[in-house]
Amino acid sequence: MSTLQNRHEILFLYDVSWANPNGDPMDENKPRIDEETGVNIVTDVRLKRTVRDALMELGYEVFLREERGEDGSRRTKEDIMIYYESDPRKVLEQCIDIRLFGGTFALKGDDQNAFSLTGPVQFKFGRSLHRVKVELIKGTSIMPSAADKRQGTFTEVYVVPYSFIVFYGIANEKAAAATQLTEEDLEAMFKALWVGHKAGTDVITRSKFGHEPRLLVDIVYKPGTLTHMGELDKLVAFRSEKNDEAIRDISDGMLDLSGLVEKMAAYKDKIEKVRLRMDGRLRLVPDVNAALEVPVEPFTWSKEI
Amino acid sequence: MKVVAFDLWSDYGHFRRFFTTSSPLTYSFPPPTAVRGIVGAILGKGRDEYLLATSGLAIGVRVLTAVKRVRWGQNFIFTKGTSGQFDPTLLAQRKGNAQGMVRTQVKYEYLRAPRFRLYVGGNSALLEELEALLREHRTHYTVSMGLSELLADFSYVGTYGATALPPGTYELVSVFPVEILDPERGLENVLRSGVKLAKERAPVYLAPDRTPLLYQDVVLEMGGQPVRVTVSEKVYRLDNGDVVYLWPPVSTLIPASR
Repeated sequence: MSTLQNRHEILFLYDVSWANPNGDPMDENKPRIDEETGVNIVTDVRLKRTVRDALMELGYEVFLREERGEDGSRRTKEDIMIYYESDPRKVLEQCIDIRLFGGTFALKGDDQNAFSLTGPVQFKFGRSLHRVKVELIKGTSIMPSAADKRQGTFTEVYVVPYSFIVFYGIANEKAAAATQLTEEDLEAMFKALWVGHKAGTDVITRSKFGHEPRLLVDIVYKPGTLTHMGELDKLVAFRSEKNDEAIRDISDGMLDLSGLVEKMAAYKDKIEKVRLRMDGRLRLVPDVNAALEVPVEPFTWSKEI
Repeated sequence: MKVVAFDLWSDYGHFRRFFTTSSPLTYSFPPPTAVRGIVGAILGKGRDEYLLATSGLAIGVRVLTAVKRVRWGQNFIFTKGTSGQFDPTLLAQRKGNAQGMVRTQVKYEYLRAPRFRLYVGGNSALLEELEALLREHRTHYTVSMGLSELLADFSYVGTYGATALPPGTYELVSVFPVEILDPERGLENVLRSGVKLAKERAPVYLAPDRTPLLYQDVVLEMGGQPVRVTVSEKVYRLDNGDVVYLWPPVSTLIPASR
């Protein structure tokens, strides 16, 4: 299987209602907020975690996986230890996440000890398209205790009532050669991005429940053009008549893609095609299918989901 | 000498200071070693080639917007197992200790909305290639602001002739090492209200095996303004009038035998 030949530029938007998109573990697990602008930030590792978990559910082998069970001993991974420590090429062969995002690992019997690959697919930190509000929700919980004693405690969780988040990423064809990333891998990642935010086990814990993927755009450049537009996340805007902090639903506004459409017109000779997946409740201006001057296609997995 | 200038910006940046380990702090600007990496990424030089490939280029850095920082905690995988080997996994038993820590929290420092103008000087064919790529917004590898996830964008500014200036008093727009200042009168003209100078010790040259060859105290104005200083070593005036300090090519300072 040949490695990725085209550069891809990725735009992914999802929203979160009454949940914590990405807590800061060193700040009481509060959602990350840019104090200067009131914009909600989500780290790239949060997104990659969701992708990895979704890929696992789709049946792919993932190197950096969540431990399950009390002591993590449920999985019999003695075999994996043997695979991985013997040959890093095997890791690349088997683990899709390392081909996508890169990784660093130990090599037994190698003095260098660190074998490291930069991932061809990189995402910037995600951010909300509007200022968000952070709410502190207080509640009580019952703790198990000795018989005939009632033991309760107070809990506090921080959530955002609503946050419409945009992620921007690039898949680089040159770096893909180093990790053997293929078209099929990338396609699986797109699928994982979508289903991971829709139904992944990871985002249906209480703190993450209420995620909904809204728009996925994959811009495929012609091979050898060596170019990409850059900062696609700056070319989209959420227009709402409501105050930023009062936005509660995707129907409270419209996603304005005119900046993106305009820039794509300037790059149309370099773009091979665009692939789109959109949620039915998202309202777009302008109508992308009509406005884009490049061929628009659905993803190969579009019908399955 | 010919100098190619281009701007680099992003939402966040991180150029780790060499002395920080578990609480990563960032430089306020990309050190020349990082600029070589960025130039290497645009030219498509891999991790093992770019230091050598760019060793003949002179490098300058200008801070374009006031330096702002943010800090936040991040959840990382604890990479040390009882085996003493580096093993980034979340499987507890792989660490040889089921009760062992699988995650660690690290407080990261980032530059907020950084924007720099990078100057790359020289006469090699490499410079022409760089100019051609920059003009069309083309790049081989993805360009980032220090860390791979901090995707950066860039734009070509111009190509200028650069004339070496003798020691004297100049309005410098770029960062510069403290040692080029005239020992007596270096900062005599710099002080006026609003000027905020900072000094950061940064690596300047790396050997091809990434051993640092030289550290210098680098001076910058935190608001990105030009500063009027008296220098005792040469600086360059570009065709557009800007005076910049350029770190000379590696080969002129570090003997090849090193």
